[in-house]
Amino acid sequence: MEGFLPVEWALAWVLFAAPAVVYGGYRTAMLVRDDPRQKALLAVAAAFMFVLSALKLPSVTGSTTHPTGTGIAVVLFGPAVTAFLSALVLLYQALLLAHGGISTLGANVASMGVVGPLVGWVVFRSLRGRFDLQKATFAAAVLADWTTYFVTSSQLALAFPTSSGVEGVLSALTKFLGIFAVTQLPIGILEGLLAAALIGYVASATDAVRSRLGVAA
Amino acid sequence: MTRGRLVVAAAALAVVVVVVGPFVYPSGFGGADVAAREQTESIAPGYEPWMASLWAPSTVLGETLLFGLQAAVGAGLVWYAVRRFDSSNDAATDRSE
Repeated sequence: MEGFLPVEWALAWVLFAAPAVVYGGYRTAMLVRDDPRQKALLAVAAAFMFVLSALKLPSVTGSTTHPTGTGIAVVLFGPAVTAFLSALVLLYQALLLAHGGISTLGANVASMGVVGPLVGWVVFRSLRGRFDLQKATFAAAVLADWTTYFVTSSQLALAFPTSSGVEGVLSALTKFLGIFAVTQLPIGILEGLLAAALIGYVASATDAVRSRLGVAA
Repeated sequence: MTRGRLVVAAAALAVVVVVVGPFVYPSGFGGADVAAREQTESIAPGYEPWMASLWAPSTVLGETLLFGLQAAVGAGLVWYAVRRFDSSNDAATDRSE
């Protein structure tokens, strides 16, 4: 999609995402400085994103799409660190795989690294007191994934409305959601299941996770 | 098989899916990003992208292998972390005995 997003929108999304990424980088550096044990957990969160965003999965609509893999980072470290890790993964894909693109990096970080994780984090914090860790993680990962592609659809609709005004944007949003939202429904659920399984393992294996998430040993 | 090994096995399976997948469904499934690009072209037929990729893999196989490399890097990181978790757990168990 390199060059498909008009310049003004590409710049607008860079301005939107940059503060979250910079603050996330600062939070990540502080995290590692204050507690070096967190390095392994950061590696797991980043690795989950690397593996899942590399998967090109067929879906019910007859097209393929990618999971986001942000669920583990959201649950363990919150939305700011997730924004930083997402930017690293998306930059790698743009530079080395010609996937996504430099011109769409701001928009992609905004959807996958900022808004999606923020929604996932709110969901996790809301459910954590009432449900166990894995159920809350499942819901957070699913909602972060679905929100990411809702935002992607909205970004395209804002840049390519079918006519002028709000009606044109909403009409385009319907068309782009028809491509992304339906495709992403089962992929998001799969992503939630994988995130819940992995968080269950790391919570059972490490004191660092149990103390971060307030889980009894 | 421990849960840690199961996690590593799942990550390794993901790498296999990335590499083998395109050969199993090479043409029946188009990418959602391609469909979105076609949608933008139908909404704005005269629109020309203002930037081209700095480079792109010349073949589908090359792209697949690069995605496989990404998944392998991720799987390697999971393996590293699981080994660290397992070894620290073993050390904690030894100390308590």
